[in-house]
Amino acid sequence: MGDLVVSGGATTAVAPEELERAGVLLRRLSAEASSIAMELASIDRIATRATLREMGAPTSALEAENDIAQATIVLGEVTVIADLHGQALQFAADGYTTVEQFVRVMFGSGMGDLASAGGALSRLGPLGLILAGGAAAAASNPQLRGHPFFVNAVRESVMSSDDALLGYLGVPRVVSRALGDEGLGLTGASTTAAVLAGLGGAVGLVRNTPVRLTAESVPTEVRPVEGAEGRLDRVPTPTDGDGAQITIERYEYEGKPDAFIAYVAGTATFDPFVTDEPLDMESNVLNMVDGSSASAEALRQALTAAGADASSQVQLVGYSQGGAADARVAESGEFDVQGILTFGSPTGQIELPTDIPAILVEHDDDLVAALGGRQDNESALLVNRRVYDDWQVPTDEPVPAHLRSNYAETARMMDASTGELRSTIDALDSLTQGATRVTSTNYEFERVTGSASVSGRS
Amino acid sequence: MTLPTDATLLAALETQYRRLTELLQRLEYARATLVPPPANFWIGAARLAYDSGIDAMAGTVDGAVLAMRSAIQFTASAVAEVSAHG
Repeated sequence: MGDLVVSGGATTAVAPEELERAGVLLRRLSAEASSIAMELASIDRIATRATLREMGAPTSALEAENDIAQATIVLGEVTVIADLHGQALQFAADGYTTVEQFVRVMFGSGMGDLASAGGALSRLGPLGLILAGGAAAAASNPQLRGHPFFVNAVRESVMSSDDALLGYLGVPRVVSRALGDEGLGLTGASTTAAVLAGLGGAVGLVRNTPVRLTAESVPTEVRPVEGAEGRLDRVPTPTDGDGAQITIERYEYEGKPDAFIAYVAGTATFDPFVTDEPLDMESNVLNMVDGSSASAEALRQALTAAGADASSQVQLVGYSQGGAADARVAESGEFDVQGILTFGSPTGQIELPTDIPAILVEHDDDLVAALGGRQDNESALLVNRRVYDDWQVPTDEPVPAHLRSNYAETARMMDASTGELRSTIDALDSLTQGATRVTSTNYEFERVTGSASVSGRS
Repeated sequence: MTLPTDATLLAALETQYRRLTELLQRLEYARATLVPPPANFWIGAARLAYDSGIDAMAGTVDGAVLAMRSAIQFTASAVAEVSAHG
């Protein structure tokens, strides 16, 4: 079981060009230190210690000689160490570049080129890439599905799925590259998902329906939530077609407006065909396109039903698809979102606000999180952990690293952490401080496909 | 009265002072421009190793700067003392 890797801020990945630049600087530092050391040695020869004594030089002149000798020795150290560091960085930069190129060729651009080439294999491109999870689930080897290398390959494939799709549609590779992530950024994983949604709609697999509230529990008083584990623990767990998908806590304060924390469940049904469940596969696809999914709409309606409006301070917590719905609502700016915490959610290509506390927890071996593509929310704090060691993945679960129990373990580690992660969790907790009353309400939604009505409080 | 040895010594010390000052400027410029900043482009244990390595090197360069400043101060004192002989 791996340790937490926390990253965030400006960038998170190893950048070979930055390594190379640092290596160049260090080699120049080495050369300059060597040059200065040689000059110092020549100064030392102007007046040697013996000469100074012969000429009756004051003690201060001899002290200066000691310091010159000391500076010369230290500069010699700088010469050697800076050169070694510079060479090591250059070596690392070359290595990372080689690996990165290999991975991108194998799993990134190569897929797009394959699709552009046409033929039977290219026709698998869009489907296989759009529903990389489906492709992975079809893989017979669960050990492979849970291996970080494979998961990363899926993440890369999602990023290049637009190239594959455009290739499938006959757009030359050079044009799709110019339009996509590597060029103007006009297309991307969301393009592919949008086309999939359209194609799926044509055959009845993907529909965009309204949702309605069917049940709302009586508000119950609860203690203010604390920490990452406490938040994940309050995310509801609906079964297929039954139970609340969203819980909203209302925080009341003396002399200031109420605040709200929304907890959104993960996918409740994996049935690809028509169901009444808003947290279904259709919503998974649409969350990759925009904020129109039934799960995002249910979250909006739940917040409104709880009394939140555009000026209300809102914090969003979600597991799996719930986190993607959170991200879509946060992206929309419809509420004053003051923080977001997601576990195993495909949020990589959903643009979160950059000025709020945001923690995105993604296991390295979790295929579901990888379906969101490359995590581009660089201002968010990313928490990564590899759950299973090589080839130690349980075979009785489709995606074991995605299990909520594994994210609960990660949340416990997060709560025990120090530094930036702990302070960001504290920033999330600050919303609950000073609350005079906290009430929790569960909301259950269904898609509007026939006659149904709000069944009232239960 | 300034002795011939004093004049020679004074000239040597003044040359040393001038060249040390020039070299200190070069070293301070190198310290400011050639020591890479902390790695904000990197994560993980390798970054910690890199940052601590760079910190240690910056400290070593600072040590050289301090030694050269001290050498300049002592040289200036020596120039003043020898000049006072005259």
